[in-house]
Amino acid sequence: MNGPAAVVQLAGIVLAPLLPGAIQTLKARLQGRRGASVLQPYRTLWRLWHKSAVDPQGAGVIYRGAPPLVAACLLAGLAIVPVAGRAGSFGLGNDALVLVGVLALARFVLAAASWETGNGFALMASARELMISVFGEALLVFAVLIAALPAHSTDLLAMSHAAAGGHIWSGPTHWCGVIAFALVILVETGRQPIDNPDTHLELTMIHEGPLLEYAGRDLALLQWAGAARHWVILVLGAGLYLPHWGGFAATLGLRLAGVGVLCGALALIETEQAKMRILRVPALLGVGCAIALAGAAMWIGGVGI
Amino acid sequence: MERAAGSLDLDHLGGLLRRMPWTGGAFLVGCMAIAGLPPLNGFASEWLVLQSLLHVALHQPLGIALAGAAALAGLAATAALALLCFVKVVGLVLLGQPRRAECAAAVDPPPGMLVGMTLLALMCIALGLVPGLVLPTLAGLAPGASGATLARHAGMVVPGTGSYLPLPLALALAALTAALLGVRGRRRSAPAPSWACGQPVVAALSWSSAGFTKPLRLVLEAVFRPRREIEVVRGGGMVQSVTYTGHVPSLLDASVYEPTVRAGLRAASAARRLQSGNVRTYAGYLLGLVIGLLVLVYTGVLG
Repeated sequence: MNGPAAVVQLAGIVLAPLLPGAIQTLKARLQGRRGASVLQPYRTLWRLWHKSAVDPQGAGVIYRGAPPLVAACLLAGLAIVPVAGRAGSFGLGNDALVLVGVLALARFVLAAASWETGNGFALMASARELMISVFGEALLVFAVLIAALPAHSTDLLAMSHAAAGGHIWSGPTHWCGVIAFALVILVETGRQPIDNPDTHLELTMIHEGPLLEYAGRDLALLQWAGAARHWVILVLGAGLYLPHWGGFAATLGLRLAGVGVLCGALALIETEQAKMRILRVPALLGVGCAIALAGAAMWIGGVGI
Repeated sequence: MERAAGSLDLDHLGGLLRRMPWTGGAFLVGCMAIAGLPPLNGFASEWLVLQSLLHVALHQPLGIALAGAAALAGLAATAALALLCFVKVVGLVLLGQPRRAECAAAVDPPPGMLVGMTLLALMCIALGLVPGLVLPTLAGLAPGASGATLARHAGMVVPGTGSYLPLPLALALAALTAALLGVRGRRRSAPAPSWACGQPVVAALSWSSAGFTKPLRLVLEAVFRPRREIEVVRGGGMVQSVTYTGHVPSLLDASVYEPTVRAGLRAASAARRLQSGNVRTYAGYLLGLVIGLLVLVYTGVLG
């Protein structure tokens, strides 16, 4: 019964690079350029896979081990996040907060790798990413809380079932959750206005920074991990906060359409918005937290259910 | 570590993981556990506390529920803060280049001194992998624990959650990492200098503990109110030297302890004026006390 779901979950491994590719292509079209093909990330991965790696001065076990470990964390994330309200039995559970922990582990490993080489730009980017994550994490658990309210559980399967159908949209709480999760998507995927994924200026890099010195297969693994992060977060967002109903096939179709819509929205935001001054990001995330808390208060207080 | 490296100042260590693999390894495990990373014991506790706060928000009346929700977000932010803090400690102490000659020559202490640390690190890992074994016992200790007990299970299978199963998670992470290492194959790599925009990489460019937390200090400026002084010495139309000092005054010190200490000292100096050292003054105090007591008795205040 869960076989097809497991297949779709595992398909995420192959499909993940499509998402950044689609966003880049859409963005180019919106900006009046022709842009690269949707398949460009695959070509990049292929090219990187056939290049040799680079060991900067001071590189050791942690620097070399970080790319596989980060990719493994994201693979575990793919196994935890259900698709279309179902999940294969990978034996890792489907808890939302465990997913938060696994993503934190990936962040830790990458930051430790930047400390090992001591590269100034990588460390600056790590410091910024971890600073943003202090506020992002608070917002993320608020978004989890709002999705858990109707389900009375942090089980992603139960949360996804509770968010199905139209009745959930009649109250204000779910809408507040949508806003909060939209900000979570921007933080976790490192998109504008919080981070600029296209930047090649070391001083402005956040998520790209710790990857600066990697090359070859190491970089390929890390870039795949970045794409998988898009997949995990967008599939989660589509599952918890976009409308869906019906059986497995219908839900799956709606989920994939939802992920497509989210990619479109990200491309649109990147076209319309400049990158924000980094010191103002916490204020943005704070507003998100306030909205989420108000939403939770309305649900608990029994408004509009 | 202090014995081997001669200092505990974060900005004076570095590169110790390579030189003291046992001590460094135990230190790394401890830091990862305290930063709340799966699959270690810190994350198991953090997960439980987050879950309980979240379920407070789910099941309690409005006021308590909102307090639970706020505490939930606060704890999540604190966990992220702990991660920032401990990745910094790991980076400054264990990784990078040694910042002093003593660190470069540091070696692991004799086995007797390693046993304690290694044992504690192993316990962090063991408790992290099978936290479910102690969970029913802990749940039974809770005040007002109902008769219903949790089934004993290696992972944490708790109703109302999606279950945290650290042992499979750890095995999966290890197996996947090993598989990816295999897929990556024999690593062909070229040595290269670290990229610093073409400058030679010198010790002065290495990051300090203050630098890594600078973004956080900047965004929380309104709360911490850091002070800094920059002194620029000019001479002959050129900047000769720049000195920079900065520190973050402790809020509690400034707003609670210092006023309390000041008030205490003022009260003490007032009290000292009573203590003249003159016997006649003390006799006067005694006389005053006796008269005062008599007056109280006479008026019936003391019954």
